[in-house]
Amino acid sequence: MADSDRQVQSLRHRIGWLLWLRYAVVLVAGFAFVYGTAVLIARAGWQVERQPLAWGAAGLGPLVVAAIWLARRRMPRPAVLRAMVDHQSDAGGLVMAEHETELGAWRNKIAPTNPPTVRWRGGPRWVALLVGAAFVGVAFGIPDSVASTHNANQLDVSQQVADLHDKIDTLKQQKVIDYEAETDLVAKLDQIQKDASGADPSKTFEQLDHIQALLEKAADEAANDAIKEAGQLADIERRAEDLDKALDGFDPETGELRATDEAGDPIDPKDLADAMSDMGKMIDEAMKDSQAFDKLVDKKLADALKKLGELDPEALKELNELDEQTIEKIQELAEALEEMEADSLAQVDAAGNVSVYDPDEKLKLDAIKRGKKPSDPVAVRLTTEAVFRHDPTVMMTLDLHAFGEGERIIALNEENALAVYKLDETAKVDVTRLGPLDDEYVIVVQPDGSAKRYVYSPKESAQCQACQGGAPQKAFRMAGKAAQMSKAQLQAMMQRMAEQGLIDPQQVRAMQAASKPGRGGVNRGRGDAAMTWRDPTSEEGAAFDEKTLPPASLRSIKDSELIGASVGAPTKAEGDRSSETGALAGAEADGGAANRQIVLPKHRGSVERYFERD
Amino acid sequence: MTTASPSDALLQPDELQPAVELTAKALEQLDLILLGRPELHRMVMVGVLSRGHILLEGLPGVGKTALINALGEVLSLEFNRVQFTPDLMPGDILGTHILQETDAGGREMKFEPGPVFTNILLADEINRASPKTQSALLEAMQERRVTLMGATRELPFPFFVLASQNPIELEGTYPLPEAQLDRFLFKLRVDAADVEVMDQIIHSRRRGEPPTAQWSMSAQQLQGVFDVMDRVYLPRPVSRYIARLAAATHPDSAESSDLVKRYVNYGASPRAAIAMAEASRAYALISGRPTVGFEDVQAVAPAVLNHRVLLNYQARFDKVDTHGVIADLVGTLDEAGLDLPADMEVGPGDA
Repeated sequence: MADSDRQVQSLRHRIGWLLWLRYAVVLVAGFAFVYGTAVLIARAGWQVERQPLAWGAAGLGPLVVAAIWLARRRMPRPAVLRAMVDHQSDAGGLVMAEHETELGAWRNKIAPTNPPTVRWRGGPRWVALLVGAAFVGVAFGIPDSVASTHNANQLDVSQQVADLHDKIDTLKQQKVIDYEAETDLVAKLDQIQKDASGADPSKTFEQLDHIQALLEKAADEAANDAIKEAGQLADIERRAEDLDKALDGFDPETGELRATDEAGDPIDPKDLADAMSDMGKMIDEAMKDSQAFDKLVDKKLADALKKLGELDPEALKELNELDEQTIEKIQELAEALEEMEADSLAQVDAAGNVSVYDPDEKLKLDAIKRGKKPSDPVAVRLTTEAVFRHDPTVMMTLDLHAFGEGERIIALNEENALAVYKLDETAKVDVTRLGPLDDEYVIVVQPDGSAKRYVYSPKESAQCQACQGGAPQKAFRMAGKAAQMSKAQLQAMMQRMAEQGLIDPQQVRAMQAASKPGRGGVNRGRGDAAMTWRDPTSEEGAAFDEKTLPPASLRSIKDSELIGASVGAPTKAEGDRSSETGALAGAEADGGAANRQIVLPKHRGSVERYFERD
Repeated sequence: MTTASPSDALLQPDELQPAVELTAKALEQLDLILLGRPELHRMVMVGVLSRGHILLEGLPGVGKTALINALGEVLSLEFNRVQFTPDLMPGDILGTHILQETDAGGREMKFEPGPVFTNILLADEINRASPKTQSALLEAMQERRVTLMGATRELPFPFFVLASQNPIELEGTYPLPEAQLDRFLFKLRVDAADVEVMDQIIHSRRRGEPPTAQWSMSAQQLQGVFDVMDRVYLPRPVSRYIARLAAATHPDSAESSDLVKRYVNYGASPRAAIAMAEASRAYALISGRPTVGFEDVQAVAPAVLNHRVLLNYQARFDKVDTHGVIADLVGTLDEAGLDLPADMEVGPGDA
């Protein structure tokens, strides 16, 4: 192969490579812009995920092939390259002729030269490629919320809607709501999500709050029912256990009660009779409230118990009428009630998932379920919250660390100072049996998890060694009315409590943060938010209403002469005087705009006839 | 590689060298006779070797006639000079039939040849003759023969017309028709000599009379040079370049330059491309090469094309002449026709 042939071949390879590179860069840069645009459109218009869009990068393969094809098409012929080599090496045509004819002696006269260099000024195209690649990166990298222009005003409430869906499912599973209610709620939720608009977010959130409130109400009612049921069951269960224990030592032959109470004294037959009577009434009441209980308990058992309770305590021998089957039923009842109580608490547990205290509800209910078992302070605190969930501010007046042995309550005295009062324990109750709260009752949850209800006792309170001035009765009521305090008042009270180490200062800070002006929309939160002024309303598109003037006005306008235009309302010219006598007395031009005509009495007939014409 | 026939075989150095030496000697003599015009002499020699006609354009007194006299002297060729005037008739150039009495007492028309029957015809100030007289040269220039009263007479070989015209004093002149201009191989511009040359002429030559030639080429030698020139090889890429160059003088051509598109009305004819090929061969021969390169074409292209490209009025307004347009076209047209993208270029190899 001649030297020139090698040069031509080498030059051809270099040109081919650069041509391919050039077309590849151009095509890939163009592809990048198209691809990036497509990604943006797909993400914005159809919310397509990133992963399927990434498959679009497979289009690079065909582009590489296309670049090869284009490079081959543009590749110069060898003869042309030979001519180029000839010209660049000043061979005077010998290199070209070498390929066409026999050079003979001239072959030795072709001076060896360096092969021509091929250069590609591809800077702008490389820049375009880099920009295109960056564009693709941006198209993939921007967050969905920014990329989505499916609805520029779309409000993303998917999380809230998903939470509500979960709650609806929970309530449906617990049969708190039926199928129709569930369908109705789901349809409403979907509609709310569809109509959610950033232009009016408060409307959407109001609707979501409404749904939430509906669910909470249903859940609370179900939980209350379940708690009430559990309380009833627990009572009956306890009575059944006590009764079972008492009857365990009963001798039908002699009619004697061998069982003793906790103090070791023989059980009074009268107490036993009362217990049976009470239990019979409780079963009656429970059977009315609970269908499950109705199925579980034989009505005859209640009747039998009531009947026994009505017997003369002295005639305990009549107890032999109570056959063995009744005693067994009482035992079975105690066991079944335990299971039913567990079911009720489970329902409360499920309903708690819908409650407003969602994050902590599980713990609260766990604390309830643990009942008398030893509990840590956190569980006690949560139990307290569960008890007072209808009025969280009351909880703020109770500080578990200040309870000591569970005999005291903290409240405000007249001077708004904190005071500790000793209260009179009236009953040891289960937390699940608590009724509505009022000023007369205070619930104290002890560190072991048990709850006690106290009734205020002035006598006992007067003896309280820890009282710190003021009338305890008044202060106690103030504490009970903390629920009616304004946020500012409550915040001030919490601040004082925090300063005395009774509550966690972080709670005060959290409340202060939540009480910043402007939070909560137009109907909640503080109203003293700073007013913010945005751009004035655009006049674009605004137009006056067109109104057809009567012909007389048109004529007046036609004959009128424009002497100027005023931006203000017409004013009455000075010097105009109304007529002070005759029929036109008091008539005057009013502000220049009104056209008040005074018709003289003698002309009224003519005017009426004029307007009566067809 | 294609196999060439013996007649198409490339000129070997021993075949080429005598012709190169003869032309070199001729050019040397011309350079001695006329000072300071080596490039002009070279182009005139190219025109002669191409057997083409040359139009010399220049001011009076710049040496046009002296150049033609010297050329005739060096080449040992017979030459006639005709001073073209407005009343010059075709018969004054071509010859005429004269009624003569024969020895037998009868009368017959006898042809009296005109000055065209020579090897070199010097048509001085050719644009002063009427179009009718100028046209009388058309057949002689193209076909190298003259037809009068039905009789065709061959002109002697070689036959060249070396015309001159004055670019000024246009009053009373008749611009050469395009058909005749196209028959001139070259249109060469003869500029005034510079100070150094004039000083040398004044100093060395009494009354400016040039010295006589010390060497002349015989007719046989000239024929031999012609034969060698005919065998100068024209590679296909070069012939394609010539064709592309001629085509690019047309404003509607894809490869025409911006200046051509803007200022040219009519481009060069195929005769121009043929003339360019022949002249390139001659230029290669004078350069001592057996093949024509792109540089040969570029050297002769302005002289071949400048009188064949017609500019529009816009060019006149913008004071653009054909030399500028042709130089721009030659400078921009890629010789090899690589047709690479605009952002790619092939340059000379690293030294």
